[in-house]
Amino acid sequence: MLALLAASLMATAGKRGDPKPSGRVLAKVSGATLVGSSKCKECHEDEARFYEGSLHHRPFFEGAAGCESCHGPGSRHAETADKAQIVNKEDLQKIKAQDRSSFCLSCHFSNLLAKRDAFFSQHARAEVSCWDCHEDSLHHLAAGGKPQPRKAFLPDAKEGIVNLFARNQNEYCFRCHETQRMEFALPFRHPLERGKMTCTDCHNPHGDPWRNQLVTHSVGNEADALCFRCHAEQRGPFVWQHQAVEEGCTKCHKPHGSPNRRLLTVSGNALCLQCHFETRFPAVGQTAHDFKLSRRARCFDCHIRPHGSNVSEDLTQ
Amino acid sequence: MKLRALLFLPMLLCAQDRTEFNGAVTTGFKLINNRGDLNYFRERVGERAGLTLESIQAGHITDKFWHVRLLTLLTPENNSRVVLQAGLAGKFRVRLRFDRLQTYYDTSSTNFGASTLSFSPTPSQYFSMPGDLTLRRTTATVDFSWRLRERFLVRGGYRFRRSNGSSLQLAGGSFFSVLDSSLPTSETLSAFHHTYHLGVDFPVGRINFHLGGEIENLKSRDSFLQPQIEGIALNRDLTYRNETHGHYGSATATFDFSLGESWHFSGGYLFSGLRNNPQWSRLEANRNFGYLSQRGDRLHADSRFHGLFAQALYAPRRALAVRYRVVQQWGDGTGDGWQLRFENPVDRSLTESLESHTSFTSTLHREQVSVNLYPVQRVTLKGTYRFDGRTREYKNFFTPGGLNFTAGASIQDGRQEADYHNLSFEARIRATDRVQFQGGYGRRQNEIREKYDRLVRNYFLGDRDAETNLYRAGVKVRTTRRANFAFDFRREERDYSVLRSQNRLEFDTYAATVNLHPTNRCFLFGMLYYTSMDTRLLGLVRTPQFSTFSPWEYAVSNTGFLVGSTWTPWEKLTLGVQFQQNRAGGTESYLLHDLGGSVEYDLGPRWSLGARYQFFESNLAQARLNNYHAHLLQALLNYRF
Repeated sequence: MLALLAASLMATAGKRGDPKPSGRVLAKVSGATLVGSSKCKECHEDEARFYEGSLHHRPFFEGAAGCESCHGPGSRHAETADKAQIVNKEDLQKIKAQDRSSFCLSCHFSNLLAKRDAFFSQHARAEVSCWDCHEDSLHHLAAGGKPQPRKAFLPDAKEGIVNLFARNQNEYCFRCHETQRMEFALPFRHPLERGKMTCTDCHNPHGDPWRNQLVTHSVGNEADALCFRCHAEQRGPFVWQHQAVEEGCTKCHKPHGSPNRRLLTVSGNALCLQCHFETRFPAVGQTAHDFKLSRRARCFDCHIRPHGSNVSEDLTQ
Repeated sequence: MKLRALLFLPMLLCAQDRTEFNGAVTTGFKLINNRGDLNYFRERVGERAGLTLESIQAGHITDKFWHVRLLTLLTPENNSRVVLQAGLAGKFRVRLRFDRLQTYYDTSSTNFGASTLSFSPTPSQYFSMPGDLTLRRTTATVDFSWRLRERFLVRGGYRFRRSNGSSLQLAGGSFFSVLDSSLPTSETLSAFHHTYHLGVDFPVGRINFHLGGEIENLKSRDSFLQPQIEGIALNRDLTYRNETHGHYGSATATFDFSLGESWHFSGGYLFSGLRNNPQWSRLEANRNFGYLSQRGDRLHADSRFHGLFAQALYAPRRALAVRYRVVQQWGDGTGDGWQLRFENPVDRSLTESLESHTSFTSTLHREQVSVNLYPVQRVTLKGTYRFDGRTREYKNFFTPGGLNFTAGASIQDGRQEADYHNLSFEARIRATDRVQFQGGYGRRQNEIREKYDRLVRNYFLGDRDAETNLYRAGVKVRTTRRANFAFDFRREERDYSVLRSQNRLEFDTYAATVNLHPTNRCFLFGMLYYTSMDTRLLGLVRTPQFSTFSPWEYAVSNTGFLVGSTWTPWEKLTLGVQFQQNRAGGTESYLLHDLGGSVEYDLGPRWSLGARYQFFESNLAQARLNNYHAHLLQALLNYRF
C-alpha cells in the first residue's frame, strides 16, 4: 500500500499547479470576453425564452454571468458564429462528471457534507453528472415551443399514459439501471408502477454515504431503518426478535422485485432452511420437525411471526 | 372537496403575482374480469376495477420566485398520495406529503397438511378465506426549512405513521386448526408513531454546526384469536394480546469545516433514549366447559445510547483521498427481568435501538482508514482497514479495490458467539465503456460449538462446523449505444457437518438481461432468470407414515423469463407489449403467465388517449383451487394545461 501511495503521489505531483476544472474549461477560447446574455438571445431565442420562466432565471441571469457561466466568454463566438469558439456541449461532455457537476455544485448544496457526498457519490464516480438527469431542465423545449422549465420537478405528464412499464422520474433511473427495470416487472414487486412509489423514495441520486445511496437517517443498519419507515409494524420492539431481522431485511426479501410471494428471495421452506438447515435436520433447534415437514407443512404455517414476537420465543404466537 | 381545494391552493397562494401555472391530469377507468381465486389474484396483481385518478401534477412559478408543486394519486385499490411543496427561493420551503398504501395478503393455505396416509395434499385442505389481511399503511409528514440568514437555517417537521388491518386467516399455531374451516384465526393489528423533529444549522467562523432533536411516541396493539381443537377437553379459544407503548428521543450535534481545499473535518455527538412498556396477555376460553383463564405480564425497559464520531478527509486533487473515521458508542439499559434475544444492542441503529436488556453496559469502538488512489485514468486502487471492537466481537477487513478496476481480497476474522473466518476474492474490471467483467470466490468457516442439555429424538447433538463456498461470475456488455447485455451467475454451497457429514445445501442463481435500442423510437428488453435450492440429507428420516424411514429431500427452483418492447412508429402513437412466465418446480410448484399491451395516441398538444390490456394467469400444479385467470382493460385520458 505504501508503494502504491508513493507512486500515486508522484503521479499527481505534476497536477498541483492546474487551475480548477471548471475554470480550465471556461478558459477554452483565449482572448474572448464576456458579452452578456442579451447578446446570446439575439440568436438563441428558444433558450432565452426557456430561462425567462425558469427557476434558474434570477440567480443565473440576474446574479451571475448568465449563459457565459457555463459556456465561457462569448465574444469570439458572437463575432464568428463558430461553434468551436465557445464552450459547447461537446466540450462539456468531454470532461469528467465530477467537473461537470462542479458547475452546479458551486451554487447548489450549500451544506458542505452534502456537497462532499455528491462529489464522491457512486454516481459521480461512475461518470454520472448532474446534467445526465437534469438536462431537460436546462435547454429542453416542448414540441409546441412552450417553455417547460418545470420539467425538472414535474415529470413529463405524458409518460404516465404511454408506458405500462415505466413512469415519471423512475424512467430517468432506468435509462442506466436496466436490470432494475426488469426487477420491477417481476410477478411480485414494490409498486413503482402507476406512481405509487418512486426510486427516490429509497435512494438519493445525489449521493449519500450509505450503501447503494440509500435514503436514511440512522447510524447503524441503515437499510433496515429505511424499510421501517413504511413497514413500521415490523419494527417492533419485540421481546424475541428473529435473528434474521437483525441481520437485515434483505436477508430474506428482495427489495425491488421477486418471483416469490412477499418479495422473498426464495420460496417456501427453502427460505428458512437456508439458515435452519442443520446437521441433525429435520430437528431444528431442540425440536424434532420430521412429523410436520414430511407432511409438507410450511414453516410459517406455525411460525407466524417471522419478524418477532412478544409472547413466544419460537415465534409461533 | 379536499382535493379541489388542494388544486386551487397554488393559485390562491400566488394570486397577486403573474401566474405561470401548468400541469397535467391523467384519469382512467379499469375493468377486470377474474375467474378463479380472487384473493390470490389481489395479492399478486393488486389492482381493482373502477375509476382511477392516475395523477394530477401542477406547478407554479411567479415573478417573485415562489414555486408551488402538487402531485396526487387516487386509485380504486385505496392507494393515494398527495405531495404539496411551496417555497420562496433561498428563503424557505414547506413540504406536505400524505401517502396511503393498501396491501392485500392472501393467507389461504396452498400446501398445508397432507392427508394422513399420503404425501400429497387433498382438495379439502385448501381454503380461500374471505377477509384476508388487508394492511393499510399511512404516512403523513410536514417538513419545513427556513433560512433566517444566508448560512443560518432552521428546519423541523412532524411525521405520523400508522399501520392497521384485520384479517381472518388459517395460519396458526395449532397444526389441526385447518381441519375445521369454521374456526378461523383472526388478527387485528394497529400501530402508530408520532415524530417531531427540530434542528438548526449555523456557522461560527469557518465551522458549520448542525444541531437537531427528535421525539417519537410509539404505540402498537396486536390481538390474535386462535381457536384450537385438540380433543373435547382442550376445545378452546386462545386470544393473545400484545401492546407496546413507548417514547423515544434523540439529539445530535455535529460540525464540519475545511482547511484549504485538501482537508475536511467533521465530528459529532449523538444521544438517544427509549422508555418502553410492552405488555402481553393470553386469554383462554373453553368452548365446552366455559371456564376462562388469563395470564400475562407487564414489562418495562429503559435504554440510553451515546455515540461520538470524528472523521478526517485528506483529498489533495483528484488522485488521492485518505479518510480516517473513528466511532465510539456506549449505552446502558434496564428492564423488568425479560431476557433479550440480542446480545449486542448498542451496535444497532438509532431506530433499532428500541430494544433493551435486563441490564447491560457495553462499549463499541470502531476505526476505519481508507485510502483511494487514482493514479491514472480508469484505475482506482482502494485500501480499507476496519476494526470493530467490543467485548464479544471483532472484525478486521482489508479490501483493496476500486471502481473501474477492482481486484482485491477481503479477509475477515471475528467472533459472534463463535469464531468465524471469511476470505473472499473479487475482481471487477471495466475494460472499456462497453465491457465489464466481474467474478469472485468467497469462503466462510464457522466454528460453532453447540451445547444442548438434552437430546432431540435420536439425533446427535454436539460440536459442528459450517462451511460456505460462494462463487460468482458476471459480464456486462454494451456492444453499441443501442444494445447491452448482462449475465450474472452466483452459486452458494453450504455444508453443515458433524464429523463431516455429506448433508448439503446448494443455492444457484443465474440471471441474464438484454436491452436493445435498434432505433431511437424502439426499445426491446428481455430477462431470463433461474434460481434453485436443493437440500438433501444423506441419512434416513423417520416419517409419521407407519413410522417408516425414508431419505429426505427439499428442492425448489424458479425459472422465468420476461420480454417486452415499446415502439413509437410515429410521433403521435406509442405502443407497448410485454410477456412473462414464471415456472416453479420441485417440492412447491406453480406456473404464472402475464401478457400485456398498451397504446397511446396524441390527439393534440393538450389531449392524449390511451389504453392498456393485461392478462394474468396462475396455475398451481399440485392443486387447482388457487388458480385464476384474469383480464384487465384500462382506458386513460390525459389533459395538459
